Amino acid sequence: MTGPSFATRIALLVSALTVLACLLVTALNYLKFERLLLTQHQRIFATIGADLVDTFERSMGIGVRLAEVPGGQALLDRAFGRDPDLRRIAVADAGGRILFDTERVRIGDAADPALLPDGLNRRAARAGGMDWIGLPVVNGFGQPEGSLLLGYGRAGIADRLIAIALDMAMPGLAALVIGLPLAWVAVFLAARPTRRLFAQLAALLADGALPAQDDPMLHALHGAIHGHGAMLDEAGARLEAIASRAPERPA
Amino acid sequence: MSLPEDGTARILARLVRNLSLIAIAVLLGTVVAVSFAALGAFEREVRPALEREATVIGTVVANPFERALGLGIPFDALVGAEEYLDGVATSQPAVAYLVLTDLDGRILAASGPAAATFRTQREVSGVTEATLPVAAPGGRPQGWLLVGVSRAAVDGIVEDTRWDLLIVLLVGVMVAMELLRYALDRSVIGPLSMIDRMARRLAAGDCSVLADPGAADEAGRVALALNALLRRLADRCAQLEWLATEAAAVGARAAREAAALIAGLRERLRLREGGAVAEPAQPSASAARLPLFLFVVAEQLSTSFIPLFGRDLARHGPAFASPDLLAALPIATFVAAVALATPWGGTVTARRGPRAAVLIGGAVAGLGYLGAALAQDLPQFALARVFCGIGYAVLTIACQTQMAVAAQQGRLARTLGGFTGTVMTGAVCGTAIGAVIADRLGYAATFLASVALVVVVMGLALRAIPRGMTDPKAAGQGVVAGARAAFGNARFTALLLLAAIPAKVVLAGFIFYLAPIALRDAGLSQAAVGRNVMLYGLCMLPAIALGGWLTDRARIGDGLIWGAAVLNGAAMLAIPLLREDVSLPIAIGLTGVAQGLASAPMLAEVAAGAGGSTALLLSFLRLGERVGSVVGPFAAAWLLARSDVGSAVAVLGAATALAGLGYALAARGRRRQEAAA
Repeated sequence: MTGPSFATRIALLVSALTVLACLLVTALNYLKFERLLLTQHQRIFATIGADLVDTFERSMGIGVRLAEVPGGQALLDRAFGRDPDLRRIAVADAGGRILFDTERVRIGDAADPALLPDGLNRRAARAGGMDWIGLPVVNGFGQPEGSLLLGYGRAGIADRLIAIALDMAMPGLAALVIGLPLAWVAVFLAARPTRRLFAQLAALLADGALPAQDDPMLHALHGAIHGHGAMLDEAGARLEAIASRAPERPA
Repeated sequence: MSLPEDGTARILARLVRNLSLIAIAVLLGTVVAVSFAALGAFEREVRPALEREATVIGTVVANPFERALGLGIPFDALVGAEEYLDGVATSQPAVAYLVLTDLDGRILAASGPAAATFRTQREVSGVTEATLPVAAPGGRPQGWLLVGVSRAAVDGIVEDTRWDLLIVLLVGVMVAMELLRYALDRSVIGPLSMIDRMARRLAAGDCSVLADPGAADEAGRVALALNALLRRLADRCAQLEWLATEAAAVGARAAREAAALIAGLRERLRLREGGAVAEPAQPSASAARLPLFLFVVAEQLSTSFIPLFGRDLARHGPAFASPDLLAALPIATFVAAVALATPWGGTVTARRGPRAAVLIGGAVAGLGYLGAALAQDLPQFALARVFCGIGYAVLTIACQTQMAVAAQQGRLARTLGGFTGTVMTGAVCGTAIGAVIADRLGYAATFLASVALVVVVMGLALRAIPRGMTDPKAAGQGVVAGARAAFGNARFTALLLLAAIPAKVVLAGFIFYLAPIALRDAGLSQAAVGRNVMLYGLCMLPAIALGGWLTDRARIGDGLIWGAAVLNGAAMLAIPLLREDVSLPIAIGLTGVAQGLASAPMLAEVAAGAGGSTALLLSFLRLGERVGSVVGPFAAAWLLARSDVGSAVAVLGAATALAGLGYALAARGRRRQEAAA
């Protein structure tokens, strides 16, 4: 039976816990940063969207209906160039029919109801691999006249998130590459006296070797083994002596 | 389980200490390195993102100015610029300032929370700035628009990350210590104790029991060598018996001599007919400690969101009560189930043994967590929490009893003190981990994680806790008979009424109710209140170990129990005499120290000194403590309604000190009676 040392098991345990703790810290930090960057990313597009809504509302303020805002399509096309992550901008009427769209073929289609704002409240949603912000377009009487839907991607923050993940992973891996072998060496060094004790016990039990360590348990065991051995040797010798006697004569 | 003494004990103590230090150092080193790398990366990557946001805001804000310039309005005659910037700054919470300047940097309009600072200093800390030219379409720049975006959200994340780092380290170290303790007990301490027992048996000539080889490591090799030695001794005995038969053929006298020799041999070396058998499994405290720790982690995973989940479910429920009120139902049913099932848990443990009780408690709790994960409405969730409470009551009493049974000679208080320590560390770890799981994966997934942990707990119990160990004192004793026996025991009743219940009244009434109110009234933030209340646990953990050590070494358990109560009372009585922002943290810390010091001796007193079934007495002690926890906040609220916070704390302090003195008198009377007997 030559299995691994108990020190191997302890070192494996310490290594597993360390890797787990590092993974946990990395995951926690990554998720937190992802959330912050997503929120900030959303704020940027909400600002662009709010500016567009403001322009449409100003036009409606001078008596133009949403569907007839002059240069509405050109306004969307211009705004589309403001950020490389912008994928689509559309304006829908109160019934959800698309009036202007950076994807012109969709003009006249019905907008996805899940993307439309909730009354006068802005809606954030994720659909078709894009994040969406639905902003209400309100007339001068405070009534919703339609909505502006702004779809954007995450490419801009994906690079940052990859960079953050790599920046965390590399030092983490380096710390593990240095820390874990050191931990193994330290565990085996710390376990050496105990392993020596086990080795002495095994030697003592196998061939009765006198323990080098001044330990009451080892000495008691040594004494017991030798005591019993001597007793058996003596009994054996005496039985041999009895057996080697000349047969007794019957009285 | 007894440990080998002297040299071996020193080696083991050094091994445990060194391995603990190594685990802590490795965890600290790697986790701190990863976290600092994360913070550095975050700083680097977040700055361009903030600049981009500032630029987008600037582009939008500059648009009307540029249109006005395009219409021929001179830059220095732009009307209403300040009002316009005010409107934008109000609608953009991330904006710290918006400043419009001419080409020489003279400010024409400024707005935003940090605008005033910008006017005087021009450099505002904690702000990322973007500067955009303001020009008519196709024209030359006529001024600048400066957009400052606040870093407050980023700084908040950085601060959060530091706290997360601390929590992960704390949780990592606690989990590492528990697992290390278990692994060392299974692979070193347990086998060495077994070898020590075998050595004593061998010295006494008992060769009837074989060592359990267990794992294929050093201890397993020693156990095999020991078994080989025992078999060699048995073979030699058999050989000598054969020789005795041969010798007996010499004649009658030789036969008598040989028989006498063999009889003497059998007297000194006891061999079992049919060969030696394996030593039965021995109870071990760590065998209960790790399952207890993991179970408390499983239970506490959901602590942070149970009221929120309850409120969500209550929104779809009956309209006769508000969701906020109904959200308390699952908490109340859990607490009630724990309190009411605790004596039954004691009976189950006493009759069936800790192993069976852990399995029963685990199965019931597991069903509860599964039910909670699948619950669609509030009654279902409340019912699931009843199952969780019953399981918690049975399993914790079973583990506590196992620890009491397994506590080695002279280490009872330290071992039982470990129960409180394990529950506290499990609670810290479970709450911290559960909050993260719930945040990312949802409530149902967190309950399913609890189910998985309970399965691990049951597997550990099957593997590590020996069968049997029923309590003969509790045979045929029901809960009522057990209660009669427990409360008929004057020593136990004095401990319960004068020490255990007052301690819990102080914990729930002062630490959980009055202290947060007083700290908030003293002007501390919510986070600072939380940190002050945490002092209780931080001071309690080392005090538990110290109390256990003092009880075992100096035999001053009774003195510690009443002394701690008097110390606790004195600290609370001092609050009205000092400034509250100073006296409250001191009193909270001293309450932690006092209750920590008294925790282990109280449990040891129940387990060793009070007589009767340990499991039943421990269960009634826990029941009494629950009563104290319920009474505490109500008593504190009643006192607060009639006076101020300082006076309410002082009254609670006086009551606990008096109870402590009462316990001292009771203990003195008991000692006199014992001396007279």
